[in-house]
Amino acid sequence: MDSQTTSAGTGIGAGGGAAGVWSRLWARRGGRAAVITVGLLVLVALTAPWLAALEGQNPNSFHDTLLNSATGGSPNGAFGGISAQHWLGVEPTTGRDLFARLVYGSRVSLGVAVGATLGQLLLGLLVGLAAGLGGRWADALLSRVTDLALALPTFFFSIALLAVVPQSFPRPLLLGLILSGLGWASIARIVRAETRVLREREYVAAAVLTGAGTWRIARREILPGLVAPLATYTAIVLPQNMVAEAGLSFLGLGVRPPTSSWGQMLSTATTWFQVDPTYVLIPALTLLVCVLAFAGLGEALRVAFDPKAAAPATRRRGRTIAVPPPAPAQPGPTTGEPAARAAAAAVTTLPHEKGEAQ
Amino acid sequence: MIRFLLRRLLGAAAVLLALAALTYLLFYAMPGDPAQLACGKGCTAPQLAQVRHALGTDQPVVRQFWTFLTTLVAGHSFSTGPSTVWCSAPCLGYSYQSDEAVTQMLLDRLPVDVSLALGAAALWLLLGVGTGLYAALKPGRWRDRITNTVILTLGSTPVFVMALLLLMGACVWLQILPFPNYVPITEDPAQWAQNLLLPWLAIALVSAAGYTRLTRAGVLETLNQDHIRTLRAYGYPERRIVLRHAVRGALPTVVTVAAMDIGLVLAGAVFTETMFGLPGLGKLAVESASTVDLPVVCGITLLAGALIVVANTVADLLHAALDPRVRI
Repeated sequence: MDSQTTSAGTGIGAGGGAAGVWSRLWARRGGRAAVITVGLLVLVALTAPWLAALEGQNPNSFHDTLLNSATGGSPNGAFGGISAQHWLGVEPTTGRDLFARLVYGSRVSLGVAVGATLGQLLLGLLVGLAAGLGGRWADALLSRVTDLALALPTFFFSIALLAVVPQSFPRPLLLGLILSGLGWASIARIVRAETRVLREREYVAAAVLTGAGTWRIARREILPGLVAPLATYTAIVLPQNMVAEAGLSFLGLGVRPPTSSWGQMLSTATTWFQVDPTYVLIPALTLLVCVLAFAGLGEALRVAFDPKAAAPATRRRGRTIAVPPPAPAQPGPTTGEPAARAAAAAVTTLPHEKGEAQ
Repeated sequence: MIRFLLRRLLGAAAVLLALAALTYLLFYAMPGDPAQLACGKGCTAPQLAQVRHALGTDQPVVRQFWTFLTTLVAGHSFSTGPSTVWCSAPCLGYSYQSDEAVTQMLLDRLPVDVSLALGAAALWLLLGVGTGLYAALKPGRWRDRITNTVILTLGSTPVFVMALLLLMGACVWLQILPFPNYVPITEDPAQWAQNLLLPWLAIALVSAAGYTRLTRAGVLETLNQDHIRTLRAYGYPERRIVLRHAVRGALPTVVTVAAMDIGLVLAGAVFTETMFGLPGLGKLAVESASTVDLPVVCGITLLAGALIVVANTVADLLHAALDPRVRI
């Protein structure tokens, strides 16, 4: 029911090159705020040891003297023991410094999210390109596999897998592997749909006539056209992966102490929310701000890549411009129709909407 | 219609079969001994051999899977040390850790998820469609901007963060509600609703955002069409045009997405249940995962897959029923 016009499908591609997209991204206040927040987050993750050193603390040493043994180990002082030495207070029962744990935790949270996203992109690209450029049988087979992967209750699978794999396996790596192994299908679907559209273009036909091999066509002719939808989609799945990591660690199945991640911090914090609300709010709000920043970035990227939405949506009563009707997001074994609608639906999907994590 | 149904059912069955195979392979044919896991710590060698025989893990994988499938359709008897237990028709296995048939365990938990899904769906539809209609009825740059920001914020909030904040806000700071403690509807409907209010809200608040978007976009798209122009030309009041006629444009998508979302919550709202201590499928999944109770984990994964497949099929049917342009 949808026409096959997405931003890439109409040949707009990167919309005036990286510089053009960047300037359009920066021109909007929301886009600028998102870029700055995400940049700060990356900077914090990269400089975590120095930040902790600046505070003069490390994430793993205990400080018993700062705790009140009468209350079962809640921090002394207001707001979870915030002081000049401990900028965000200390952890109940152990007295570990929360600022240090938070900045070190950003490495795990961001690292797992980025790693999982890269894995999903790689797998999705490979499967999608193979299905889109391959013959009828390859396409049929790979599309069925993709449909199946989309129908999996991924969250339950990851819970179960985390439970089965021995504790000795490094958890952040395992989380990255599980998330990418279970989450590539929607990317594959988008890549396949876009590839099917792109390969009918004249310039691809021209490349075929020059005798270019499939691999070269994929790399030189198709990939550039995939940049726009993939960049936008990356900004959507990255926070999803971040939330997934946080959630699994929150359930006690992901990262475990002494390693910290925001989800792990929230997990230990839930037993303390009556006594020490600061301890809950710090990782919760950090996670929220980061997910929001990525969501904003995704939204801004979508607008920046789409010249049609370049003007802010203005309308008078009853007359509407620039509100693209979102196609129904259909995870699950739908008919495998050459759906640009998966792509269209994906770019209008909120981070948590893939569901399951409710 | 019939052909479509048949095709969908066949497709769903194929997906479920593949899902069962995948689940089975992942959890039973893994390195590591499921018999050891099922038997628990302090398991003696003869006990282990007995469990291994009972589970059938002393047989080849393909044969094991076949047994697993026949067990599912025809039932199977499990020996639990001294006595033998008959596990009837849709038998998903036997949990040696809690000495119960998995199917029964899942059935015991299902009412919680049904309560959770129905209440939450009612709330999120009310909130989402309501705000979506409001946004479509009263356009304006600032109002749009504020709505968009609120929607993006709520929709991006991880549900466990939302649950935590609600719990802290309502139960600790404002103290307007006691800590939720699930009461079955058959015992006391008022208590049931009161205790589920926060869980419903947690799910509804993060889900409503998507429905606001869908409703607003659907209504605005329909407002651009010719029949609306005709109605305007006849001088119909705008409010009536939106509420009577333009809503129809949003309806199919909203209903479709709602059906799929309800399926997801039915399959187990892991975080909401864990956070509010509701004894549903999601909580059971986490508990059995942390005690590595494989038959239960496997059973829940399969049930969740089945519920999602069914929900998707129902969604497609509803979509086709509401939107005649969709051919099935």
